[in-house]
Amino acid sequence: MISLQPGETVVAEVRRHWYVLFAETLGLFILALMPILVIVIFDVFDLATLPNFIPLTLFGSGLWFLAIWIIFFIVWTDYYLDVWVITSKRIIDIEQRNLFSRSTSECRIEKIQDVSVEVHGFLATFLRFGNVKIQTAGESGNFTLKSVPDPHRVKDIIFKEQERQAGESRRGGQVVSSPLSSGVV
Amino acid sequence: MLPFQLNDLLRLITPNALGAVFALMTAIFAAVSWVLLYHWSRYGYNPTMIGRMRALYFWGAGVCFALMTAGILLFES
Repeated sequence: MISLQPGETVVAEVRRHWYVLFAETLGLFILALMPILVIVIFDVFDLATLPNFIPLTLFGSGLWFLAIWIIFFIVWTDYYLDVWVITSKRIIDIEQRNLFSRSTSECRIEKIQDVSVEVHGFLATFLRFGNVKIQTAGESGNFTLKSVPDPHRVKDIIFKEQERQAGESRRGGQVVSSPLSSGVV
Repeated sequence: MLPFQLNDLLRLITPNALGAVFALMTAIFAAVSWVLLYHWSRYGYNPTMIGRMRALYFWGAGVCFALMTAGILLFES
């Protein structure tokens, strides 16, 4: 879990678009139909009368579905735990590569210099997902939020938080050189 | 030709062989479930969503195990 700093609140949690999960698991859905295909083939070749056909079909189907079920949940876990958390102070990039590989990086909102949105392709346009590229001034480098749903909304959230924080800093007597405070977006 | 070969193959399948496969799959399921539950409880940000998916996972697995058990129980060597 993420440990928040004093006064920090989570503004948004952003995951990849559902289409990414769908594309990754489409093969599994097709594989799940295999037992039905096998039964149809056995029926066509009149092999369904073989001894123990029904018990073996039940056992084999159960085994097959269970293997696919387990793989599906491994893929889902990888998808679900791969998340960008936008807080009132930071953007935290949590990347779950597989079950045993996980990395976390973050950049402070005030370090963000530019946010750009890329939407490429037919599906991305119609399903409204794309990449949000965040350029930072610090050593944390650039962040790319890949295949996020409604990337323009995510960009707006980041800008709004940056603006809010710049306003708070100004009220607190600090001068912050933010692209927004200088009118550059 | 094909049915004869299949009959030969079917003769190799015994209740003990099915039981061994069942035990192996149960062990794999237990190991993967342990890892998944660890991740969900440690890194899952939305307890409601995680709770629903956990229930779905175990219900689905339960159905698969029921199918396998039915297969073993109905099997006549």
